[in-house]
Amino acid sequence: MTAIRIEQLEKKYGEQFTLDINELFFDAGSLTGIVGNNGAGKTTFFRLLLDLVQPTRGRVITGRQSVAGSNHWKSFTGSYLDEGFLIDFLTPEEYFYFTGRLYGLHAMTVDEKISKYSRFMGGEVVGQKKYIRNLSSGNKQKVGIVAAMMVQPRLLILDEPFNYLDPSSQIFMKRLLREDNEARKTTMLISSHNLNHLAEICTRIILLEKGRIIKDLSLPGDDLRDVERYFSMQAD
Amino acid sequence: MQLKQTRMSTQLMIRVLLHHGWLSLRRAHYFGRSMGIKLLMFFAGLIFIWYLYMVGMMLPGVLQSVFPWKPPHEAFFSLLVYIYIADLAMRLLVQKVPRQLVRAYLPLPVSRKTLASYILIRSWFSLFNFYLFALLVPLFIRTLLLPFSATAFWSALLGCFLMGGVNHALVMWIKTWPSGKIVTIAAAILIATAGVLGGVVYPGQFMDFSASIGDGFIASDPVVFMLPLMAIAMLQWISKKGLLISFYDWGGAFSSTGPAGSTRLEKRFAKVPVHGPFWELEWKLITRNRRTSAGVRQWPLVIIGVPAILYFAPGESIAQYMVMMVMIAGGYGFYHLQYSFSWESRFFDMIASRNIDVYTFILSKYYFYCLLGLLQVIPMLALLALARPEMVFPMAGMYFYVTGPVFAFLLNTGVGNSTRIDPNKKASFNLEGTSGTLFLTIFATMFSIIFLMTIAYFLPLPIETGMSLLTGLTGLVFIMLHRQWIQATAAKFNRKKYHNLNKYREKQ
Repeated sequence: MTAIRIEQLEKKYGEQFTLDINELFFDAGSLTGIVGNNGAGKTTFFRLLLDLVQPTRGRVITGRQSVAGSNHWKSFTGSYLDEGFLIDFLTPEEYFYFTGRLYGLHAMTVDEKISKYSRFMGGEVVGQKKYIRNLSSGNKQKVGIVAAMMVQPRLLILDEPFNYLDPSSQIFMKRLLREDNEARKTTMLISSHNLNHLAEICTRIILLEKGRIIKDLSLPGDDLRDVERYFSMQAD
Repeated sequence: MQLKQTRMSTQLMIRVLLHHGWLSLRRAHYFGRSMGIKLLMFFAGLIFIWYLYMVGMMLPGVLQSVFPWKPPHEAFFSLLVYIYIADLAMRLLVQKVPRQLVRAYLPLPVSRKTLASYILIRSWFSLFNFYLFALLVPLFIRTLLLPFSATAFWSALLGCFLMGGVNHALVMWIKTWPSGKIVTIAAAILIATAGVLGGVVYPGQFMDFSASIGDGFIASDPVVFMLPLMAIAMLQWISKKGLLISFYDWGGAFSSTGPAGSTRLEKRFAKVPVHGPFWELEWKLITRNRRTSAGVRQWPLVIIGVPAILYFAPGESIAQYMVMMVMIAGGYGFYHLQYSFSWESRFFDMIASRNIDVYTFILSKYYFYCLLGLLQVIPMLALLALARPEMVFPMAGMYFYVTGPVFAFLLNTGVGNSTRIDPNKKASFNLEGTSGTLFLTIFATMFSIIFLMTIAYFLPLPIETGMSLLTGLTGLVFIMLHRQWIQATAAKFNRKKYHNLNKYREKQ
């Protein structure tokens, strides 16, 4: 079953940058990694999926409806793009309760979820009596990721989730994503600069360059060395 | 688990969002400061209200002397349209759309229509919609409640609120519309045209029209209430439509003001020996931050505005003169140096670990702001020479006073400022980046001028001459001794280095 369908999606920013994806499908329950160098269009692609920017042409369909101008997809989508999407004057607990409430979760359920992620948060996020804005970048990242995952969405979109995380948290996070994907068949789209992280957990890797898909690999199966060679060539 | 649909109704959601709006204000960096600062802010607010209240109390007498053939309420109502044109112009410049919260909610299960409604409702909780009541209430008590009736009093207040409401709705429409810049320019042209038509071409007709609105208020004529109500409803409806489109801009990356890169002016700055690189840096800091770049764009208005206020303000009362001097003494330094050294918070480690002479660094900063002040004050003095020649020397004296002791005081106290500024934030009320000490410094500089005025009052000279001499000479002494006090400031800067480095890291 298709979870997301992209049809002739195009986004132009002046003359400089264009994201252009003719057709793309994401199966329900797939765990897809989006890779690409800076400026490849990963974040723009995610913003289009979340209806945060208006496409110049084309559409994104989730739940049989276009995301543009509608709200239906929000109830089954969890996302975290960057700290600008956190309500930074709340404490992490307040933010979790608020987010949970929006997705129809009771406070007790939210407490259960928070305890599930307590090891990931490492005792530095909850119960600190700090506003989100006063947390370190890594802890802000954890708040955003936990808030997106704890509501158990059918679709999870995370932009560079490994950034700012310490190595232990990165390993923990990969474990969480894999478990969630296997147990609940969550459709996941994750971007990263680090190919190794994605290769460990993803069933599909898409390589973007200047707004276009230049490689679409299924794992295990396809040779990931193609992508590695691509990055090496770019560096030379 | 199958997710359930959002359980919050639109009304409940708006209530929650309004609560968040309140939390964002209460928890703003600025309110996290000491009780002393909170009390000071409270008293500053009280002084502002008291000032308006006193104007409202005195206005009937002033109106009676300017328009002796009209009762004061009629005279006031004949000026009502002008007052609200000025109110609109001010709102266009200063009033903000409460948009800072919205981005975080866009990907969450909150309908965009609810968010748009929230923004429009939240925008009504603005000081701009209420400040005039501090003036109108005492005025209407004296001119309507006592001679007429309570109905006339309440009707007039409601009518004025609705007129302000139309301005509010207009500004919200202009500022939320996707192609806001074009609409803002069109609105500015319209206001200027209305001002010229009403003030110069057809003043009689405008005043008669304005007075008839006031008559309608007193008579509780439903038409004068229905028309603004309908205008507000229509504008809010259009604004909501505009907001739904504007969300796409707000949800994307922060838009930059233009392509980055050194401008010709910056390159010229860089060529100045010794101070050039620092001047270039300082210019980039003030023009590449959302907050201060807005301030830079207001310069032409300040240059024209101060002579215009002095030209149009009736009489030559000492109170008017004093208020202007106090505002310049406190405001001018605050305008330029309220963030002194909080700019550098973002790259303080770089300054601390490079071969940069702190004395030269502060000296360049001082010269830079003196130069900016000079660029502002020269055209202002030229305009004043035409509008109010007797104010040229007091204003020149104030320039020396501000660039002398006021700048010295601000730079010296600013050294201890470890408040990290966010270059992307723009809200005028959010004074993040200004330390409590700097805020107190502003008050001290404002009150220092009152001390000088008291001395000038006892001098055997006209007060303007006395003030010009006192402010000018004090300023010149500080300007001449600037190397000495900058050396002391640099020493303080070095002493505070480790303390500030720690503070900046804590706030990272």
